[in-house]
Amino acid sequence: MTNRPMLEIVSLQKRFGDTVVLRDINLKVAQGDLVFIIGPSGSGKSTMLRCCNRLEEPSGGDIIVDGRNIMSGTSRDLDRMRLKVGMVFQGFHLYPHMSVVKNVMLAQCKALGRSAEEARARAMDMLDRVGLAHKASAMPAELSGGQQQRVAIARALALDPLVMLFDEPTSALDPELVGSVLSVMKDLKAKGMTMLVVSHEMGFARETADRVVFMDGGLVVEEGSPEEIFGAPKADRTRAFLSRVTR
Amino acid sequence: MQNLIDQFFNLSIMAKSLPLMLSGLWMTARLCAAVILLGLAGGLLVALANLSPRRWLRLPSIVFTDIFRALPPLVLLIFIYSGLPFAGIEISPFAAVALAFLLNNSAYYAEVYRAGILSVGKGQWEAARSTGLSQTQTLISVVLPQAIRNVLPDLLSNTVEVVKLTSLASVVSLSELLYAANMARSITYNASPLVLAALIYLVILWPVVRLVSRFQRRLAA
Repeated sequence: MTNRPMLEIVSLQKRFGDTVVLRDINLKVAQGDLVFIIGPSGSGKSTMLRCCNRLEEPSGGDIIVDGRNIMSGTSRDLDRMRLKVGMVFQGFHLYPHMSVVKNVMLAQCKALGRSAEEARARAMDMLDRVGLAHKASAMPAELSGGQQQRVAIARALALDPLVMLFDEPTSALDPELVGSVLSVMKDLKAKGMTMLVVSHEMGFARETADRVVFMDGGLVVEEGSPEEIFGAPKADRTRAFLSRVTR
Repeated sequence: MQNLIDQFFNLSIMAKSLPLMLSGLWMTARLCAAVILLGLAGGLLVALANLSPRRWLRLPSIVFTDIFRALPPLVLLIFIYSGLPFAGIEISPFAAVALAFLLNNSAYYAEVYRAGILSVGKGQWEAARSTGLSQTQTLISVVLPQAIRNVLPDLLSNTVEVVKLTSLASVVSLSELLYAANMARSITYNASPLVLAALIYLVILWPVVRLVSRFQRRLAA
C-alpha cells in the first residue's frame, strides 16, 4: 500500500435492535485500490458497505472519506459527501420513468448544480465509457439487466466520485450478462478508481483485486492479497467458506 | 307516451332552462376546481405528514384522515353551514361547501398518495440519496412521478367522486347544477331540467370513468 487511504472504516459497529450485525470493523482502502469483500450471507458485508455512505446508519465508529469523517456534519454535508462516494446496487435501481441519459443527468443537475448541457455531455461520455451511448434515449425497461447495471455505473461515475461501492453488482444478472459488467469494473480499476466490492465473483477477485477481505459474524476474519486468501487461507472459517463456494 | 316525453324530455323546456342550467354548471365547475386543486395539494401534504418519521406530524395526519373519511360529507357540510353560526362564525354557502368537501376529499386523496408513495420501492430512494440528492429532491424528482403514475386511476376516480359530491351543495341553496335544475323544474313544473342535469353529469363524467378503466387495465397488464 503506497497510496494514502481514500476510505477508512474505524471500529464500525451496527446493531439492528438486539442483533449485532457488525462488531468491530476496521478497514483501509488506499487510493486506486480494489478491495474485495467476501463472506457467507449474513456476515454483514452488505451492511458494512451501506454504512460507508450512511444509507445504513452506523451504531458506532467512524467512516473517513478522503480524510474527512462523514459521521459528523449536517445532512447537507452528508448529501455532499455522497457525491464523492458512488454506489452500485444489486438491483440496479434506475429511475424507470426517465430515459437512460436523464438517469445519468439527474443528480448532476440537482446535486452538483451542473447545467443541462454540461450534464448531458458528461452523461454521454460516461455512457460511452460503459458502451451504451447508443441507448441514451431508451427507457430502462427496454434494456437487459447487464445494460441497466452499466447505466447505473455511469450514473454514479458522472458525479466524479472518489470511491465506488459495489453491492453484489452481478448477483441479479443472468450468467451471460455478468461479463459485460465485470469488464466495465475492470476498466474502472485500470483507470485508477478506488473501489470496494462485495461480490461472489471469485474469479474476478483473483484477477483484479489488490486485497481480499473475508468477513464472518460481523468481523473481518482475514485479509490479504488474492494469492494469500485464495491460495493459502490461514483461518479455518476462511478455508471452510472457500471450499464451499469454489468446490 | 307523448305525455312521458313532454314531462321528461321536453326539448323546448330544456332550451328555456338552459341559461339557468349553464350558470349552475359554471358554479359546479368553480366548486370542483377549488375542491380538486386544493384537495390534491392538501392531500399530498397530509400524506407526507403521514409517512413522516416524526410522531408530531404523523399523529395529527392519521387523526385527520380517519375523522374526515368516517364523517359523512353531508353531515360535515350542514354542520359547517348551519352549525358554525351558533359559534358566531358566519360563512358563505360557497365557502361552506368548499371547506366541507375539501376536508373530506383531502383525506381521501391523502390515502391515495400514501399508497402511491409506498408503492415506490426503497431502492429508488436509496439510489437517489446515494447520488447526493436530498430527501426533498428525491421525493420530487424520483418518487412522486412514479407514485402518481401508479395511483393515477385512483386519483381520477376520487376526482369523479368530488364532482358528484358537489351536487350535495344544493341542500345549502348554492346554485350549482342540481340546484339550478331543481329550480327550473319548479318554475316550469316539468321534470325535463332534472333529466338535462343528469345528462350533463353523464356527459362530463362518463369519459373520465372510461379513462379510469383503461388506465386500470393498462397498469394491471
